[in-house]
Amino acid sequence: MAQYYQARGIENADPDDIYLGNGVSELITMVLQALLGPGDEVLIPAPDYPLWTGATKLCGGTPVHYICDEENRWWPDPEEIEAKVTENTKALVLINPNNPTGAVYPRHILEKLVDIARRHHLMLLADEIYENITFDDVEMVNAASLSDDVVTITFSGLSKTWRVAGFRSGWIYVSGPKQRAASYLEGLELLMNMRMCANVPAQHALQAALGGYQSIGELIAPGGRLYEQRTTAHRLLNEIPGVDAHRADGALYLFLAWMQRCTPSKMMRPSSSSCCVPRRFWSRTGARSTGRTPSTSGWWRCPVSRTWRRPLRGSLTSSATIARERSRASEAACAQAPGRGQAASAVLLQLLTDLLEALLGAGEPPLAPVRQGFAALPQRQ
Amino acid sequence: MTDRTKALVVINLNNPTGAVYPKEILEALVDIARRHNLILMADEIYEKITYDGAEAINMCTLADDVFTITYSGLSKTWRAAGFRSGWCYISGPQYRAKSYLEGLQLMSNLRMCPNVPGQHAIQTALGGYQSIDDLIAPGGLLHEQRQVAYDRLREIEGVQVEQMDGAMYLFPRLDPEIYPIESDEAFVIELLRQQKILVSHGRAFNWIDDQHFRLVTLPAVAELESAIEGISDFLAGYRTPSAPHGCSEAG
Ligand SMILES: Cc1ncc(COP(=O)(O)O)c(C=O)c1O
Repeated sequence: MAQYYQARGIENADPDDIYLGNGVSELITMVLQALLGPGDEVLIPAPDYPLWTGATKLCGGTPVHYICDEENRWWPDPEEIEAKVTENTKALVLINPNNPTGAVYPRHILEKLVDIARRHHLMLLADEIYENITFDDVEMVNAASLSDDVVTITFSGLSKTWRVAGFRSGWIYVSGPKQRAASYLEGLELLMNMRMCANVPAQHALQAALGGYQSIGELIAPGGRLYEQRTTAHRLLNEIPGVDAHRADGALYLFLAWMQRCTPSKMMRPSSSSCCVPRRFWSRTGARSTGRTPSTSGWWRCPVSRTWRRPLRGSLTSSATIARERSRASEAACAQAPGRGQAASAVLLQLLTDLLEALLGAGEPPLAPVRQGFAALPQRQ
Repeated sequence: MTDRTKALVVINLNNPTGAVYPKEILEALVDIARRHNLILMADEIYEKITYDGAEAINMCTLADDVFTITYSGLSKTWRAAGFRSGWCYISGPQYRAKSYLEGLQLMSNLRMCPNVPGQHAIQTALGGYQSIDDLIAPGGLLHEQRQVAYDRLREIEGVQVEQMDGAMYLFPRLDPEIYPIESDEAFVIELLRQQKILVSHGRAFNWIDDQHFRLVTLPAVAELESAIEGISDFLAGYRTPSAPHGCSEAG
């Protein structure tokens, strides 16, 4: 695993700097538990992978969200981050490639984030679990490769690139001036010992996964399933009037601007585990002006990693009931073996058909696109 | 017990003492939980590892009106600790713990799920032939190791030890008249340095004095015999009045 990072340009990656966990989720919790006391602040992106916010709160810390703005390709704004650093700030979290936006951060922004961590003595927590899922040759830079003077914890695991989330196998790689973090690492080690170890059967999979032939390469290349699903979902979603989806450079998600006054939660209520799950709703204005985590309508995340087999219906009906039934049928079909390659666009069209039906069935008056409704809402402060 | 007490933890069969609690005591504990509205947390992971007919009673069988969480897993009886596979069984008036269970569910979701390969082992382990039974019967590995460890430890002057009824640990007491130990941690570190034998000091288990250590009876009989001989030699150094008390200057 150290060699994995060596191969990614971090020459002095050492086996002693790798810690194994039962998935990145467990490691996120432990890394924060060892770090945070009451009142400590952690800079977390908004939107975020919500475990980061949840775990920070559970550890008694305070999440402080920095906005990754759609208008800036969902990239973080170093100036805003810097402005939110206080004397209580302990760590800066970055999720790259990003869940839920699919953004991949460019080198110049990452360098600025590293520099902020450097100047304010923050621990840099880089959740890079999607690092090998990028499209169109976009460059993915590991934050750890950008400095050797910033304590950086890089998170990754088998759940995404290697697609065995059920194995619960993840790791962290600790780099930078570890002597400055000696007591922290001692605490982390203690927490890790308390839960004994990472499960052993899955440890056997690590070398097999990280070494040799990398099947993800095909999936993310043109013609590959993940690539085609991303591209098709993006195209079809944007064909829906009032829907505004930015193209994802990486990961498995599109993050959509939904229409104003639409209530996605009501719309999607039939099954929270269905193939399209509205995970979190962000009001652009709310998020911008307060930096908090609003739950108003506006955004939802569309996973493009799922596929299901269902004959494509030619026409759209406006019955929400049918949409719900389909949603259920889709769920059942999801349990079956996933289809391959060219099935992707048919499958996604089906997904969008369901969405549109559900939307029409929600009984709302004709919807204004977000951009129109947007102007009426409070401006950024 | 104070008005802030939330839960009562019972570790039966016990690590580090090897004790198996009798029914009367368990019933009394259940009753305390009942009267004070406590959550009963019964860590029973050694439940099938008992010797000489000792009976392990699941606390959750003693009441249906006490909210009880029973813990177990594959690590002990089924000896697959590396699988990281365990579970808890929740019983009693769950309707009174709705919000607690919701929180628990949330925490469970935060870490996604227990690893799936380990889940596949659960049915296989719990069903059918139980290899543990042979190991704890006379002639079985665990039974014999326990016997040898107990017999040899008892032979050492000033070592007071109760035979375990369950699990795989002995928790001997070193008579303070003979072994005036200042720090049990320093004592076990020195034992490790001199004899290359690792035991755990009593305070590591939050025990209240410095006179205990835990011996794990998992090594084979021959290894246990030579290890306990090493412990005996080491203790001889502590016994002689000229020997330094404590180990603070050592190493
Ligand atoms: C950004 C991010 N980090 C971590 C995880 C969790 O990964 P694991 O399965 O290793 O716990 C996810 C999964 O959704 C994720 O999106």
